Amino acid sequence: MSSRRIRSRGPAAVLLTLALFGALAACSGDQPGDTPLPDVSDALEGLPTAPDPCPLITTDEATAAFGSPAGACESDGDQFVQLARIRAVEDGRGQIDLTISVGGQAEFDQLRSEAEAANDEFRELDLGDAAFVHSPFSIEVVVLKGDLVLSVRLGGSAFLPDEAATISLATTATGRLTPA
Amino acid sequence: MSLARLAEHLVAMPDERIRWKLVWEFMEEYRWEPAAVQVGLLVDEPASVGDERWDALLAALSEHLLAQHDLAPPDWSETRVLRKAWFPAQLAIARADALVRAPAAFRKHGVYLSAHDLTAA
Repeated sequence: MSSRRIRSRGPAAVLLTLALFGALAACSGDQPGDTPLPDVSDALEGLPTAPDPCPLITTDEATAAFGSPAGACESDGDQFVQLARIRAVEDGRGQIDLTISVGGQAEFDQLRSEAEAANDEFRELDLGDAAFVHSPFSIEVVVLKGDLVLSVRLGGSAFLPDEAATISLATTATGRLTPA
Repeated sequence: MSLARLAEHLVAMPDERIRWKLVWEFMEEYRWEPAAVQVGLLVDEPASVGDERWDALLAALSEHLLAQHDLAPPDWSETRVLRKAWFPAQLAIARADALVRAPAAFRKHGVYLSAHDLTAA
C-alpha cells in the first residue's frame, strides 16, 4: 500500500476548509464585525468521534516493548482527541503514549510538514493510508487511517527507545484501529 | 521575561484573559531577544501555576521554542503532560483550527493551541 496514495476527502477536509474560511473571514476587511464567522456546529457534529486508544496495544505487547512489566493503560479525551498512556511498572523504564485525533489528512499533513522540517530522522512508512516515523528525543510514529490520525510514541527517562519496536507497536495498533 | 518569571505572574493573575495577555507578552519579548538569551529564558523550571493545564502549557512552550534552537526539552517538562487534551479556544472554529495546526510539542503535552495563535501573538 502506497504511503502517498490519494484518498477521498472526508469530514476532516470539510473542517479544514471551514477553519481556513473562518480565519480568512476574521482577517478580511477593516471591520471584522461585519463578516460573521460561519456556524460550523453542523460540520463539527459530522466529524467522527476519536476512539479510545487503549484497546490498540495489549499489556503483553507493551511489556515486550519495554523489556520489563507494563502497567495498565489509562486514557481520557473528548470527541476530537483521545490520549492514552501505558507506563512500565518501574519508574522511567518505558512509556507508550497513544493519541487518536480526528483531523484527518489536513492534520496529518501539518504534522508531517513539521517533522520533515525539523529533520529529526524523518522517514516515511508504508502503513495505513500514510505514515512517518521521526525521533524528536523519543521515537514517534504518526499514521493516517481514514479520517483518524494515530500517534504512537515510545520513550521514558531511563529507557532507550528502539525504532523497530515503535514501528512494530504502531503496525499492531494501526491494524486494530477502525477508520471512522 | 523568563518562563519561570512568567509562571510567577500567572500565579498572581487567576483571570484567564489576563493570563493569555501575559503569555503573548512573554512571546513578544522572547522574539526580540538574541538567540543566546532566548535559550536562557526557557531552561529554568517554572513553579507550578496551580493548574495542570497552565503547567503543561509552559512545558509545551519551552519544548516548542527550544526545538527551534535544536535543543532537547528540559527534564522538568517531561512530566507536565495532560491526561485529557486541552483546547484553550472556546469558539468551535478556533478549536477546529487548533486540532489541525497545533505544533507537535504542544500536542505532546496535551495542549491544542494553533500555531497561528503563537505566531500572531
